[in-house]
This record gives sequence, structure tokens and C-alpha cells, in this order.
Amino acid sequence: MDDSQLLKGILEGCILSIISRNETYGYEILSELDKNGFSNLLEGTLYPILSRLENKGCITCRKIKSPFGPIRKYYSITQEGELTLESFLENYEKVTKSAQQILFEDKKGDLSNA
Amino acid sequence: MLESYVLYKKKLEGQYLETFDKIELYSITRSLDINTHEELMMDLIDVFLTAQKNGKSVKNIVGNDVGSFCRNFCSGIGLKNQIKGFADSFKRITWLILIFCIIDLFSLFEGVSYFEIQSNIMPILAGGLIGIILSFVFGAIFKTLMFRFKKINMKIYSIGLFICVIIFTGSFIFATNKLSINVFNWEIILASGVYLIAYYILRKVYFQKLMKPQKIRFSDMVIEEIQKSWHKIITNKNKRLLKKGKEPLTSLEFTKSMQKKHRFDEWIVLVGWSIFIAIYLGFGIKVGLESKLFDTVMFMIIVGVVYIPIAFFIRSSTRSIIWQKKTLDICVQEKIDIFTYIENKKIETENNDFVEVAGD
Repeated sequence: MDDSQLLKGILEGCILSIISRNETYGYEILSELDKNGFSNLLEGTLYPILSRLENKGCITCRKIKSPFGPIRKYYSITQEGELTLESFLENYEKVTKSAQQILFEDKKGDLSNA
Repeated sequence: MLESYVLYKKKLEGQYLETFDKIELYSITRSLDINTHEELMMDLIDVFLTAQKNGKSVKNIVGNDVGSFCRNFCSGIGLKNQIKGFADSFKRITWLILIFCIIDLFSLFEGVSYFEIQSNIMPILAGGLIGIILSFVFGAIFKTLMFRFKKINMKIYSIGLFICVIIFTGSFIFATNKLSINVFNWEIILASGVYLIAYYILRKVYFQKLMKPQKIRFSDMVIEEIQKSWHKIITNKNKRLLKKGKEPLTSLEFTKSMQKKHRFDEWIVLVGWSIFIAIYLGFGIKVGLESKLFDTVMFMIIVGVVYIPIAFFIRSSTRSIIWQKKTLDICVQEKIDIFTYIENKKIETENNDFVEVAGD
């Protein structure tokens, strides 16, 4: 079963959540995702997601010269982004609750029979 | 101050440099708009430099499959960017068509009426079609092979492109000699002119966000290039003087000599513009003496449609020339050499720039 679509759906919400905590940049977002188990699943998906979020108006960016020299984009969440994140969290809770009930129902049944 | 990511590539090492080169090459094969390409690469190089400094493996950033990373990385490019890239390529072809049509206008001096002049568009059509097919096929093949074989790099891509250019040129020459589709010159000029005007208006209105940031001034763009070329001139001049056993020029002496050399620049620009306008009026007078008023007016409008984009192009070049002359005049007046003036300008620009310096 292809899990990539499932991951892509969740990633956008996770990235928005990371940005909502404080102003951050690409490498920091990658590190945070890596720390939480999303390492080898990324493969370039971060940048299209950031681009999409910016186009939707969920995040803004400002450009600052990084200590290494290149221009670095710092992202922060907008009001629109806050609303989108809120809506994502609500839907995520609903979906995971329902999915858990279906996916783990058989296991619960086995445990009670045992 | 305008900067390219290329300035920072030399800081990358080993696997980071190798991987970055692959991604850069992939981005180039996508024929993106130059600003989009610069922005993508600038984002990536910062991540690579940070990860390199923190001792992380490049696989932590791009994963195990660089090809997959590239496809995902470039998939964020919106339709607007792709349309702009295509429109930019088509603009260049249109300029080429216009130049050929203008050359055909010299038939006017052989007594041919303007509205009877025809141009053979077969070479452009055949060449253009073959060029598009070639670049598509070459790009598709190259993008597949570049991740299968490690040795495929920018050199090989350049050789491949060169071969495509030879095939394109060969088909162009063949089409010129063997085939012809003649169309009225005024129809081609009108269509090309309409496209170019539409392109420049759309670029201003629709692609505004994709353009360079407006806070970067024109003078800042030319500073870097002029500084490099003047450094070269003074270095070569001083080498020659030393060979002859003479004293090398100081920077201030060099500035004064450049100011003398450029003192007639404004006049040259004025004469250039006068000739440019005179040719336009000359065509008008020639056609006016031989044709009815309506034909003359139509002709002037059609040629005017060509002249406006050419005028924009000439204006950009002349702005650089005028800026150089004014800068040299200021330097001589304030008794400061040009290199010190440029360094001061750079510092002033950085201080006023919208780009801040990160604290960490």
C-alpha cells in the first residue's frame, strides 16, 4: 500500500504547525521534521509545500542574509494560516479517531477474547 | 546588492558539491525562468551550507534518491513561472524574426512598394519547430540519464546542447535553400510587434512578483560588472606601463583618464538616438513620397511597433553608459578614485538594502 499520499496530506499540517510556533527557516523545519521521524520521507517535498502555503497566504517570508552568505527565507504564519491550521487540527482529530476505531477494532476484539 | 547563489558554491565540499551540481543541472534542464532558478538554488545552497557545517550527511537533506528529490523540489514551480519561461523563449525567437524582416525592408530602396515586400518564413518555422522538438527530446533523455550515470555533468550537457545547435543550424540552412513560404513582411512585423508589446505589458502586470525586487536599483546592478571590467583595464594598462619601464597609474589617475575617455559619451548617445530616429523618419519619408497618406500612416504604425521594443533595448544600454560617465564626473569633482567610490556605494546600498543580516 502506498503511504506517500497519507504522508503528504499530514506533512502540510505539520510544517504549518512548526512555523506557527516561531519564525523559522528551511533547515530548521527539516531538522524538526527529522527529529520527529519524518527524515527519509521528505525527498524534496518541503519546498513545494512551503511554496503552496505561501501561495495560499498561510505563511509569509522575509529575506535575511544567512551567516554563510546566501539569502535565507524566514517563514512566519499569517492569520489565514492560523485558521487553516485550526481547521486541519480539527479534521485530523476527527479522522484519526474514526480511523483508529476501524483499524484497531479487530485487535481490541482479540484482546478481549483472549 | 544583487547576488547569485554561484558565489557560495565554492563553500560546498565533497558529496554536498556533487549533489548540488546534479540538482543545479536538473533545474537548468527544466528551462526555468532565471529568477525562479536563482531563488530555488539560493534556498537550497543555504540549507546545504548549514547542514554541512553541522556535519550532517547530504542524504539527510535529499534522501536516497536524488532524482526523486529533484522532481519534487522543482514541482513547486507554479504555472505562472512555466508560462513566463516559455514566453521568454518565444520573445527571443520573435526578436530574431523581426531582425530578418527589417533586413528585408531594404528592398524599399530597390523601388518595391512596402506592402508588396514578402519574407520567407520557412527557415524560422522549420528551424523553430526543429529547435523545440530537439530541446524537448534532448531534455527528456538527459533528465533520465543524468541520475543513472554519475559522470553526466554540465560539460556533457553543454556538448549535447552544442550538437543540438548544429542540427538546428543545419536544418535552418537546408530550409532556407530548399523550401519557402512567403508572407507579407508587414503581416510578420505586425504579429511580432503585437506579441512583444503584449509580452512586455504582461511582464509588468502579471509577472511582476516574478521579477527582481524593485528595491535593487539599476546602478547597483551595473556596479559589479563595471568594477570588474575597470579592474581588468587598469591591471592590463599598468602591466604595459611597467614593461615599458614607466610608472603605473594610481587609481585616481586612472579615474581621470577614464573620465577623459568617456567625456563625449553623452554626445555619442545623443547621436546614436538621432540616427535611430532618423532611420525611422527616413523610411516614413521614402514611403510617403511613393504612396498614399493612409499607406504611409499604416507603414509608420507597423514599423513603430517594431521600433518601440528596440528603443527599450537601446535605452537599457545607454543608461549604463550615462551612469558610467556621471559617476566618473562625480569622482573627478570630489577627487576620489572610482574603486573607492564603488566600494562606498556598495556599503551604502547594503545599509539601505531590504536584506537584513541574521544575528545567529
